[in-house]
Formats: sequence, C-alpha cells, structure tokens
Amino acid sequence: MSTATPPGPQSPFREWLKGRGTSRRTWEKLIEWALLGCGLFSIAITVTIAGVILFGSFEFFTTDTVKVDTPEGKKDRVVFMSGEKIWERTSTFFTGAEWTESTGVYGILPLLSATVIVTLIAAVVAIPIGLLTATFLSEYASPRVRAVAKPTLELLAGIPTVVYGFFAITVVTPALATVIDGLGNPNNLLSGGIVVGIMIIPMVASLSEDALRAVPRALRDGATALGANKFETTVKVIIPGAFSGVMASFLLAISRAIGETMAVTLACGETARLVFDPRQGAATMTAFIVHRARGEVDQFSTEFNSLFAVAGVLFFMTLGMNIIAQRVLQRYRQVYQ
Amino acid sequence: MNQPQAKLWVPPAPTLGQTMMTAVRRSSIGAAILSVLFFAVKFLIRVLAEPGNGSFVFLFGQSLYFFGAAWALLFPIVLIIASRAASNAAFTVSGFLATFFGLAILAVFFFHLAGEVVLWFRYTPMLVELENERNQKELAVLSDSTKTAARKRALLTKSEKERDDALSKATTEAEKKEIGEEYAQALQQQALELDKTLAEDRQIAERSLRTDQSPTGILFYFLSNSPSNSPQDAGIAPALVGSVWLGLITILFAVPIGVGAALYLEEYRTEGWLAKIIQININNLAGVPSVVFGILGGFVFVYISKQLQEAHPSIAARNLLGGGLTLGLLTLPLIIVSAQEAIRAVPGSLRQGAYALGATKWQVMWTIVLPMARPGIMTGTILSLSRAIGEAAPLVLFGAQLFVDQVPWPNTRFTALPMQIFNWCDRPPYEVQSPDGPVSIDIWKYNAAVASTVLLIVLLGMNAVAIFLRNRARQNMRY
Repeated sequence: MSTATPPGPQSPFREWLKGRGTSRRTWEKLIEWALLGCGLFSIAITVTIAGVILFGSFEFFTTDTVKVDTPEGKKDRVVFMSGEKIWERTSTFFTGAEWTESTGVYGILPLLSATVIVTLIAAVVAIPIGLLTATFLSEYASPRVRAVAKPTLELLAGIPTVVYGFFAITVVTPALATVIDGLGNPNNLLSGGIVVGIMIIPMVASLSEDALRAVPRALRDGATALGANKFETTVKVIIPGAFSGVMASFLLAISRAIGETMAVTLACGETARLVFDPRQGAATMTAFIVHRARGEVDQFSTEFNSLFAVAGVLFFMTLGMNIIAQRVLQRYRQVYQ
Repeated sequence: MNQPQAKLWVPPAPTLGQTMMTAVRRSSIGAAILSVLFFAVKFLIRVLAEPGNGSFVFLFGQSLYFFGAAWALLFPIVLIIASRAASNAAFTVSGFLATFFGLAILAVFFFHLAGEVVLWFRYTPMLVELENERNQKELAVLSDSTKTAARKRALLTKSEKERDDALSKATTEAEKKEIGEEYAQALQQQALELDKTLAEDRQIAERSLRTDQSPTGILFYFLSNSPSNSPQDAGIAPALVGSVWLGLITILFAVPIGVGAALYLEEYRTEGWLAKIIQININNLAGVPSVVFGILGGFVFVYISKQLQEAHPSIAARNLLGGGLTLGLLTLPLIIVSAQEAIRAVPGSLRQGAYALGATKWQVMWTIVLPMARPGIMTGTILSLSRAIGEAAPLVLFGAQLFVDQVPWPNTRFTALPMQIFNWCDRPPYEVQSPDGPVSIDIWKYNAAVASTVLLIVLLGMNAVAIFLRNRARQNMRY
C-alpha cells in the first residue's frame, strides 16, 4: 500500500527542487520569502518616490542654471549656489507670491492658491451631495432603488479624468458662461472645481455609506423608541455615530481632489499666477507639473527641477491627509467591531 | 375584551407662530454670521490683492446687501428644519435628488458627447470632400502632361533667367563659358528632380483621395489610421494599440506582485510591526496622486532604458514597457487592497479543513484560498485596470509622445488613448477654406469626443464585466 501524498502543484521548478533534494520545508520557506518580497516591494515604491522627489528638490534648491561662455558659444551649465542664495531660493519658494521663471522667482503661493480654490469648490459640490446620497442609500432607499443607484454612481467614478476635462471645457464652462459675467473661457477655476467635485461624489458617497451602515441597528431602534422620526434619527444619531468614518471619507476625497491632474489641466489652464477669483484661470500644482513636463525646457535645468519641488509639496500634502484619514478610519473601525 | 389601546405620548407640537419666530431668529443669526464672514473675506482680498482699491463704505453696503440675500435664502430652509414633519419630508426628497444628481450629470454628459459625435459624423465627410476636391484639382494638373510641362517650364525659366543675369554680368568669354556649363549641368539636375517631385506629388495626391465617405467608412478610417495634422485624416490606431499594450503590461506586472503581497499580509504575517508598516504604506500609496507615479516612472525607468539604449539602439528612452510598468506601480496598491478583501472573505473553516488533511501552507493557499478568492481578485483587477487605462497624467510625466505614427511595440515610443484625447482637447478650432470663405470648426474637439466615446465604451465594457463577475460569484458561492 502506497502512502497517499496530498495533492499539490506540479511545476517544473518544484521537480527541479526535488531533484536537488530540496525538502518541502525549504520550498515553503522560499515561497514565504518571495511573498515577503512582494510586500516589501510596495515599501520600495514609496521610498523610491520620496528619494526621487527629494533628490530633485535638493537639486532645485541648491543649484542654478547659468550661461557659460564656451568655445562653441553660450551654453547652460548647472552650478552650485552660495549658501545665501540657497536660503533665498528656499524662503522665496515657500512664501513667495510670484512664479516667474524668466527672472528666476519661484514662489509656490500662486500654485497653492489655485489648488486650494479648486479643492474648496470641489468639496462644496461633493460633500453635501455625497453625504446626502450616502444617507439616502443607507437609510431610505429600497433595495431595488439601491440596485440602480449604486452601479450608476460607480459609473461616474469610472470615467477617465481626461474625459472629465473634456466635459469641463465643452459643457460646464459654456453653461457657466451664460450665467456668470467675466468668466474666463476656456480656462477658469470654477469649472475645474465643479468637475472635480462631480468626480469625487462617488468616493464620498460610497465611503460614508459604509460608515453609516456600520452603525449598529440598536442605535436606530433606540432613537425610534424615543419618538424620533427618520430625519432626527439620521442627523442626530447615525451621522454622529459614524462621524469618524464620514470625516475620513471627506479627507480621502479632498486628498484625491488635490492630486487630480488632467481635468484641472484642461479646465483651469497652465499659467501660474496668483488669483482669488474663481472665474479666472490659473495653474494648480498638478497642472503646473504637467505643463513643465510637456514644455520645451531642458531636463534638469533649474526650471525643470522646480517640478520636483512642487511635486514634493503635493506628495507630502496628500500623504499627510491620507495618514490622518487612515487614523480617523481606524478609530471608527475599533468602535463598532 | 376590547380594551382601549394605550395612547402613545406625542411631544406637544409647537404652534405655527412659535415655529415662525424660531425660524426668523435662527435665519437672522445665520445670515449675520455669513455676512460677517463675507465682509472679512472681501476685506482680506482688498488688503492683500488690490490695496487701496474701493471704499469701505461700499464694502459695508455690499455686506448689508449680502445679509439680505442670505436671510432670504436661509429663512425657508430654517423654517423647514424647524418643523419636524416638513424637515423629514424635505430630507427624504433632497436625499433622493442628490442620489439622482449623479445620474442626471451622467445623462447630460453622455447626451453632449453623443451630440459632438454626431457633429463629427457631419463635418468629417465635408472636410474629406473639400480635401478630395483640392487633391483632384492637383491630380488633374499632375496627370495632364502639357500642364505638368508648363509647371516645370515655369520653375525652370526662373533658373534660366538667373543664368541670363549672370551671363550679362560676365565680362570675358572664358567666364561666360564657365557659367554656361555650370548652369547647364544644374538645370539638367533640376529638371530631373522636378520630374521626381511631381511624380511624388501625384502619388501623394492619389493616396490622399478618400473614396469611402459613408459613416462606417470614416469611422473605420478613424480607428485604423495614425494621427495627422489635418483633422479629417486623423486616426487613433497607434493610441488604441498602445492602450491595449499598456493594459497587458500593467496586468502582467501588478497582479502577481499584488496578489503575493495580499497573501503575505492576510495569511502569512497578519500581526507585528512589519505587517503594520506594509499595510499603512499600501493604504497611503493608494492615495498618492497619479502624477507623482509619473515622476517616478519618468525618472527611474527612463534612466534604466537610457542605460540599455547604449547596448541596444532599438530601445527608445521613453518606451512602452516603461510606461506600462509606471501604470503597474500606480495600480499595485489598488490591486493589493482588493485582493486582501477577497482573501479575507474566504471562510477560515475551509483552510482548517485543508490543514487537517495534512496540506502545507502553500498547498492551502494554492488549492483552496486563491481559487476561492479568484472572482474577487478578478473584479478588483479589472476595476483597477480600467483606472490605469484611463490615466493620462502619469504618461505625460513619463514622456509619452503625443504624435506617434507607428503601431507601438514594447521597446518603441508610444502614445495612449487618453493622451490622444488630451492632445486634441488642447487644440484651437480648425480653419477651413470653404467656398464661402474661411470657417473655423471645432473639429479637433469632435475628434476628441469620438476618441472619448471609444475609450468610454472600452472602460464601461470592462466595468460591466467586473460587475457581472461579482454578481455571478455571489450567486455561485454558498459557504
């Protein structure tokens, strides 16, 4: 009687290992190491992103492109700056209200202000609509309505961002221009914000719906027993009960809005300037990065390296928001599970 | 027997007058707060952006006006909220409206897109017709030997005139002879070249004649041709093939690594600092803007390709493989998160049963967990793939070309459908010399609309497949 061997995968590699006298234990260990490698790969991605951005930003803050006379005529050369100038460039970058490359003035406030305006408009559009949608889907809708509404919302999330940009310049801006005077056509911050807001509605809605559904039934029943109607139950019991989850959905959606690129590039334009009027166009941080990457600038000149510094601000801003959101999310998971 | 039912205690409802007074009070407070905020913002803008512009009395007036408007807007809302029944009904209605706001927006967008596509089908044949007419005229000239000769003659006489000028300036006989010989040779050469260019022109004109102008014909032309500088001849073939390649590379790269990482986090090391760090890192990576991934790809992969280029010149610096890997990095966290959820949903009793039969850990993973989690993993993969195919920002940062006229291969330069749409969205209206004078048509936007429709059909098809898979898995799986 032969002993039964458990069924297992028969791969040539395993045969080879067996032929070498490798035991099953070693094989299992090998697989575990390989899977650990897969897990560590994601950390390697983060480290490489941070490394590339920091390296490029370092180049931007410490070097300058100057014209040098060579036998073949004037040429651009990258040279280290003095400490004083490094300080000047760094302080201008974080506090300067002007971004003019021809004079070498790099202040991030114009890009930051455009990003903030677009994000605020997007939040104003997406947060009320998304939260109302979430409460409707989790508290009011019948299963049949939910079966129609949820996939539709997912459809809205599946449209590519460049198509949203196309909608912004061909639908939203012309429609707004008939209502609002002095609207910049084709580029304005308002249409970009509205379109980004529409884009993040599904995110707010589905994440907050998950949070609202996680609120135990006992709380709903308790509120009903106290004589509250559905509105009062939702607003005074369920939303506060799911507050951290709802908050996390807002934060994640806002961080997505900050990092949104193609729609904003098409809708808001690519010129860096300080505006407070959403009717005008201005480049957000992401739009500026796209503009710089597409532009006719020498790679690794100072103008090009400014891209890395802007990307660094963008990266650490979204990273910070995501970390806060994850923390908040973790807290609400611990409460009800 | 018939005992009277105990009456429910209902809180005393406020009278109408009380409700009104509450509403007036609350809306006044709200409007006051809003107008103070309005004043503060306006004041700040005045101080920061346009110093010394306009009087503050005017600003006060504006704020008062704003107060009135805000009060008028707030009062009905507050009135509704102050009444219990009305607030309940209004909340239900607004929830319903908000939910179907998305549907309405989708309807508007798709309707508009369809309109642009119809316009494309209307204008493209007209432009093709105009171009055909021009080409036909050209062909008529080029195929008529006397007219070609006349054109050639006209070009040659110019050179002959030059020669005569030179001859008249020359003083000695020897010089004249030299010039004559020089020009005779040059003229002969020029005549030969002219013959050649005229033949080429003729070929080009013949090739640019488009016979099929039916809707299916121009659509097929659009799908099977390279981009062009004249909008009616532009097509999306390289972009379409590029997008398919990118999707393939993304899947082949991201799915094995993503599923491996998910298995590790869910089955091998669920606790401890290492698992925690990897988990936090993945969650944050999922929220990193796609442009940033583009910077990573454009720096690392392009650097590696440039090194390889020295040994193998056929490798382009910004090649398709690098672009696909960039998108793979972008989708990796999404795939890991969805695969983790799918693996977590596999019931533990199945694993324990397999262990009880003597299976090793990997055997349990390979024969039990992965097959059970497969529908979930596939759904997540398709959804993240549809995101990758729709992304343009990382590719722009990676340095993908906007204008590629060859069908791409992993080692060549490439373009993708979203890049093509972006390029066309960014172009000004096209000037056409019609018989009634110059007309500008937004034909590039219509091209973008058709390309967007193609992209949306692909993506929505993929989403539909994902939803279908999910539903089928739900029906088939009964633990």
